[in-house]
Amino acid sequence: MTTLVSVESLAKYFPVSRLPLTKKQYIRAVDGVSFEIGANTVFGLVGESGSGKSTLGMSMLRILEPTSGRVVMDGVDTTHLKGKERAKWSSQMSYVYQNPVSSLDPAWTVEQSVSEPLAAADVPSKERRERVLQALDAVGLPQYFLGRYPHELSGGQSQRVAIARALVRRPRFIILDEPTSALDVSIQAQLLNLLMDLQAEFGLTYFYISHDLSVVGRVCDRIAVMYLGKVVEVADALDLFASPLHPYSQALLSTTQGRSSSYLGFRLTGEPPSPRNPPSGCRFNTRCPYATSICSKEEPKLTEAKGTHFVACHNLDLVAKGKVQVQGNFRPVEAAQGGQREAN
Amino acid sequence: MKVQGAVGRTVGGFARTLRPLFREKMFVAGFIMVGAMVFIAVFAPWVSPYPAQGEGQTAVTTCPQSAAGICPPSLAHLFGTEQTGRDLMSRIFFGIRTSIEISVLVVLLATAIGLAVGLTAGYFGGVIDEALMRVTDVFLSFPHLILALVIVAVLGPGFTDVLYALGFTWWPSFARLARAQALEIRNRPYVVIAKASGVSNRSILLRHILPNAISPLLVMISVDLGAVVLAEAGLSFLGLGVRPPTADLGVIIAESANQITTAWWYALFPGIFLVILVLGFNLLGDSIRDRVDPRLRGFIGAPMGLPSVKNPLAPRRK
Amino acid sequence: MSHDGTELLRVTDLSLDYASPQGIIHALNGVNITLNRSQLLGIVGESGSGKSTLAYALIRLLPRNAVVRSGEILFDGKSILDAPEKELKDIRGKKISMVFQDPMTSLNPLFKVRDQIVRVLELHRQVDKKAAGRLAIDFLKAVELPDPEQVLDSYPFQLSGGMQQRVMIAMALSTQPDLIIADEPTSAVDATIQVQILELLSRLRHEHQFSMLFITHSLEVVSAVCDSVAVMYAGSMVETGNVSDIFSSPKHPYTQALMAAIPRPRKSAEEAKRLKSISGSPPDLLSLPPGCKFNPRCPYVFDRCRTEDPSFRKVGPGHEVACHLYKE
Repeated sequence: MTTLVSVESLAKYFPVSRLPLTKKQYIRAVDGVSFEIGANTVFGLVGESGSGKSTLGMSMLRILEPTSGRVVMDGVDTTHLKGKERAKWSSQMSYVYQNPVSSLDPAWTVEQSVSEPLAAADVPSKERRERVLQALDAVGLPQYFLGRYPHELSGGQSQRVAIARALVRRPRFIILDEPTSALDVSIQAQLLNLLMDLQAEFGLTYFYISHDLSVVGRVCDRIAVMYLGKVVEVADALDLFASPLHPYSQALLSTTQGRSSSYLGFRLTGEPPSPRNPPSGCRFNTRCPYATSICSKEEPKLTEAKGTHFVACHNLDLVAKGKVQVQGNFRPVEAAQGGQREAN
Repeated sequence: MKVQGAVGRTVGGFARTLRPLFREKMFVAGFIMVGAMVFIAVFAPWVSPYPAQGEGQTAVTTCPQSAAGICPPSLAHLFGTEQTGRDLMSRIFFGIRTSIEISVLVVLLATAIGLAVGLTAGYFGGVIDEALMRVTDVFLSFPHLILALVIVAVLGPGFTDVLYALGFTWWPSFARLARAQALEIRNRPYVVIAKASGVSNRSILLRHILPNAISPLLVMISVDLGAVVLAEAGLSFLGLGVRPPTADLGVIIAESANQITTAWWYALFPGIFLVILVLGFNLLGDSIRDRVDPRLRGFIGAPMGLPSVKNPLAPRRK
Repeated sequence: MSHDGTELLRVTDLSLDYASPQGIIHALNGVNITLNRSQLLGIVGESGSGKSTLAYALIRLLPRNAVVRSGEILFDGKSILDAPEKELKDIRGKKISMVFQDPMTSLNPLFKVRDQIVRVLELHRQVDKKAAGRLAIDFLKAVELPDPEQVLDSYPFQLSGGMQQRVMIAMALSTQPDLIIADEPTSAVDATIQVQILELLSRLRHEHQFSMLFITHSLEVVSAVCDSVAVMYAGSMVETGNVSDIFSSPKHPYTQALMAAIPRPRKSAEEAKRLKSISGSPPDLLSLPPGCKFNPRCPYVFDRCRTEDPSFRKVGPGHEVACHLYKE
């Protein structure tokens, strides 16, 4: 597997305005995140709200400028490119946003929206319509959609237009930020199938950001789990679902149906801390059932646990043995079925 | 070129907003009022009984009753005459033309300047925003009356000084509104994605921000058309506006002030027309405002509110 | 299954339209539900299914352009559709409480939590401010908020989404209603919080003995918390029954398709990523097809489906389907 995109210690801080003489404070939305995305794979990023996953996606594409760290695509550091170089690389990466309706300008027709990236890349206008039609065809929208306006489209159709727009410059890498969360189950299924077909047809690489574990577990090859600005675990999808090693991953996966029994499922108690004031040491230590004194002092590094499975945790051995240290953080859940019924 | 696209899209947006509005009674009423006034303004030379007098060429009908030349309404002069003996109706019609000309020009100017300043400030933020907004604040604090006095003192009275006086004091509120719109729109996903695709700021401003910012401004435009008419009439009333022989409603009303007990028609008719004009604009503005509000997330073409139905879900047997 | 036999809510043949500039939207088409005391019924459907319309119709909080074409809603024996507004005011918030989807917009941002919950108590429980304050704390404790005093003194924006939703539930509970209608109460919160809230609702139901109508698009949520399920499509009920029956053997093609379309994590590398999607597009409520509303997309469609709207028929104890595939 060749690496297409490599994220190295990427960080994005947002300054919090304070009074002039007090020390500047930051929201560390993304705080030193590293992983590698293989070519022609679907790489998933899961996390809850406040984890910084959307910020990470936007920083990778430089919609937000990263505070530090770098993103390397095909050997080229794209983090600091400017001008022409940057324009050239921007055609290689695209972004599909969560809410299809607001990602399209309501004053623009479908054709105008889809051809905008082409105009920005100075593609001659004669060629543009042809390419727009190709893109629409790829997402299964017939020609008469060209003149439609977003309010005349359904959620699924709007999202297809957004995908067409992301495809029109023939990128190699697409970041999808919760592309199906706003859609019904049946439409979601159609769209996910479409995305998989497109990936195969055009040799695309996806970075799939979502809070929905079931979707990520289905379509992704490799998954990173994020908590409060840090990646806590990275593993192949099957591996992660079969045996998650980080307590947070275990808690997350305890919410899905039919989870494996290789770990003690539990419910998280309490609320996630605010990104403004993350706990010291390991950010998960305040809610972790396996936290010990080192956890509030020292941040664990993301290290290789086995093969391509990486975890950031001090107490992997305790977790593996199920030796709960902080009872208040542990609310058990029944094994295998997770207390929920499984549909056939 | 790209600007044409922007204008086209904006005009298209206008059309899309306005079409369903014709269902509203208030809108139709306003539309009729304003329509009638605009018709009069445009066709004044053909609609006035005495166009020459309307335009201000010397009168004059000798009036048997009064020595001053002011005649009450008669068959020859349906609204009577004013103090120089000219036909009042024609004067009023040409006065409406002046009012509408000035008001349209002022609002056009204010919108253009306001959009340019406000959208730029809101979109770019930072230093540009601060600088432009301070300039706006300065102009906002100018009462148009005082400015008019100053301009008249410097340039002498006339049509153009009213234009400047009003035009330079009217744009700040447009700028504020435009800025608020730009601040919100620039964070919308389609703008963010356009930026990420490498679209230039100019293109984004003209093709994304501008068409989507227009809706609330429509309301301001229609209401301000009426307000400017009043402001202009006020200035002229004080002698700071257009000079005779140009017909003007404010001037006519000013002249009528002294004779109000003896020549009732002199004050009444221009007053009525002024009211119709301003009220018409206000009704238009109000009905547009009811439609164009945050409910319609997105562009004006979005599915409009629902017509009021006679049978809400009240108890069936009442 | 834990509900006694007494009937609390009965909806019979309810049909409701919305007038819109584009035409008449047929939001509900002959809907029937029965809800017993202490029963937890989940109503599942996608957008356009009419589930939210149904919820709001039950307390008659529909927009002005809604028209009831036919049908009856009986709550505790009384007709909701015929009741005068005064009576309804007594029912809304007191006998029937609602928990809405987005707590951010359900709580007034200008008032502290204390003001909002105390107001509800004063209004519906006829207690004075002090007593209301004490009751408020009790209910906030009941929804497992760690620091009730602190919460009472906070503004909604100071609380997280999960906490706001708990406050909403506390407010809904505080009037000791017979029925709580929850409209997608967990869609706006994270998975881990969602699970907490669902378990909370389960627990509360046993302690406080209320019935619940749980409206959601997610079959999984329903399976976690409800006794029975009703599946809706294009304004009609297509299948009703116990959660276990419906999940183990869904009978209606739509229910089956819906379940098949739910993404599940892969168990092996050989398993395909593709999902079984439902062919066709969602129903257009402005022009519904004659006969069974699902017929354009049904893999088992035959002639009768296109002309005759199927009635409900039994396929098991407490399990009914509206589908011609099964004998009447």
